Amino acid sequence: MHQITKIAGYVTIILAVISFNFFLPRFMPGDPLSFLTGAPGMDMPIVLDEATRAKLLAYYGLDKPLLQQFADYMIKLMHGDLGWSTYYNAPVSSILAGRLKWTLLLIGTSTLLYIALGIVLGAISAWNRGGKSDVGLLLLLLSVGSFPPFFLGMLLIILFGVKLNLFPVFGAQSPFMAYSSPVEEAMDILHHLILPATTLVITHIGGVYLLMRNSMLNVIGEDYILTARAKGLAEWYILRKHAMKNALLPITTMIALRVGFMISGTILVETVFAYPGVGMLLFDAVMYRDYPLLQGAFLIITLVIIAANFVADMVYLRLDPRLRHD
Amino acid sequence: MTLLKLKRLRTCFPTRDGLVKAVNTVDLEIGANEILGLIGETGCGKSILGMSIMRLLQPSTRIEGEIIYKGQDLLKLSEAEMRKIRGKEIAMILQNPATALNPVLTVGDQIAEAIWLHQTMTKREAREKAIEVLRSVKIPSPEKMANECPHKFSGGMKERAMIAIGLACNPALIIADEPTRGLDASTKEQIIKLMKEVTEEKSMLFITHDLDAAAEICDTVAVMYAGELVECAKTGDLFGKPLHPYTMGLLDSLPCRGLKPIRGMSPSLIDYPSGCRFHPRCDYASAICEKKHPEMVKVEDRHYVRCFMYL
Repeated sequence: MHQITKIAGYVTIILAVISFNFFLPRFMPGDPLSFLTGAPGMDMPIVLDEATRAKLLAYYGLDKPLLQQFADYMIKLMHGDLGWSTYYNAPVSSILAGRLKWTLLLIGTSTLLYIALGIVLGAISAWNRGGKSDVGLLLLLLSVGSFPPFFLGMLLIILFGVKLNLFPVFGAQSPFMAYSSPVEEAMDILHHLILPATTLVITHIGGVYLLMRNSMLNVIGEDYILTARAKGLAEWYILRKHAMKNALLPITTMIALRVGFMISGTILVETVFAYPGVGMLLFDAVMYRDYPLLQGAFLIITLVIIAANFVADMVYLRLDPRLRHD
Repeated sequence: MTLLKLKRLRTCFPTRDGLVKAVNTVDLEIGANEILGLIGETGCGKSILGMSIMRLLQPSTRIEGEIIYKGQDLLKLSEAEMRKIRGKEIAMILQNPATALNPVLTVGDQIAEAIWLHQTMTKREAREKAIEVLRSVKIPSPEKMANECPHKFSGGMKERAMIAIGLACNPALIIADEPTRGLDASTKEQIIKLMKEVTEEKSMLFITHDLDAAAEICDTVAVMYAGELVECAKTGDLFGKPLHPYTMGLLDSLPCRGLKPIRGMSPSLIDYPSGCRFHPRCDYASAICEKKHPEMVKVEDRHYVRCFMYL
């Protein structure tokens, strides 16, 4: 019963978000054609006569009433068809597939890194409350964490990309490269990943660190920590076995909620580093009013966020025995 | 034979309002197989005294004097040496079992980790030993309950689990801090009975403000007021023939003796009253009580009191 309500909840959320994704872009001024053909005032605007315009609108199905378009979209979606991009003139699903792997690589590695680092540093900081390591970490992470991601990205590009010339400044792979081995390809990809991933880690680690430190400080004052000390257990063991697990409980939910922010940060970072992920694609799709592509990209992002919440739910169940149903 | 001896024990810790002199100054002895009750109002320093023996207080706390356990001064041990004493030699049963058990670990694990730490055995053997200990504190179907987390335990069962953690490594001394607090009358009765049973061949420092519980289980009772002991006697003598006005007041405040509260409030541990610390609340106070601090005197065999009436 409990599982059914949960699944019903997820389905409702997905349906609601799909509707939003459909209608919101259509409320923006302009339509795909105005940007496809060049907006008035741009260099060499292509002026469409009414007949051609109507033909094109009909071609993309944009002449039908809005609700009819919505019904068509939903029916196609049921069949797994995400539609046809008006700007790229290609199936949305294949465009997304090409971009999604890069975003997942970027978000995946940086999320794992900042969560792991934030949790460990937060725990160490709280355990040495008021000590040198605590104050040092607090100052450092608070100051780096307050950089906006696009600004930090530009700083890193200027410093490590341009001045020191250590890392490439754009893309996910070197263009026109013929790799001699998979290892070389992986190294090239990693080389391109470091700067954007570092930007994301630095901008997000402060939040997790503070959450963990706070949560840990609450746990340290609990009676069961004293019980553990009274057993003669070593500090390190108490930190790991008794304190961490309890402190992680509130963190899990918070991290799942932050995945949404993470994605919005990724749009900026991908744009700054010209990293060919979903974020940059989304930026382009908004610029060109590419409705089908926008819907597809938003749908993927929604699914990622819901998946993150689902994972958090599962982790929470594993961490907290009080929530388990027998 | 003395197992634990406190010599001029003083415990102070700084707070925003000033230095709290929670224990000031206590001399106390617990013999082998003796159950010593430490009674007094909330905030008189009795829990801090227990925690001082275990050295479980904040690092900013200053503990002075000597805590002689089996001939060695615990205050001179390193932190690593002290960890070998905690749980193995001296175990502490903390107050409030609802929060003193870790909510996310199974009760079996919470007992087994102490056994595994202090005794050379495999984790599996420690686990079996843990089940045995749970059985000894009369937890029903201990094999099953060892795998459960504390939220599946009732209040009385949690207290039993706390006692089991204390007993896990068969310590020589148990410090029990208010083990009957918050339990209903019949559960309390059972817990007292159980504690009596499991400490048959052990010593125990039984910290409580529950006089009935103390009368039932203790061999000797020490009365603490404002950081120091004011009376110490065999249980029968103390309850039958209390000498200190504070002890008399405590006994008169029992429901069976008319529920007469002691007037005034217990003093702050930052600023004691001058002279005898009890004089502002004492019905027998005379001029000297305000000026001079009385010493502990022996009135009868094993009956000590800190009051000018007996000098």
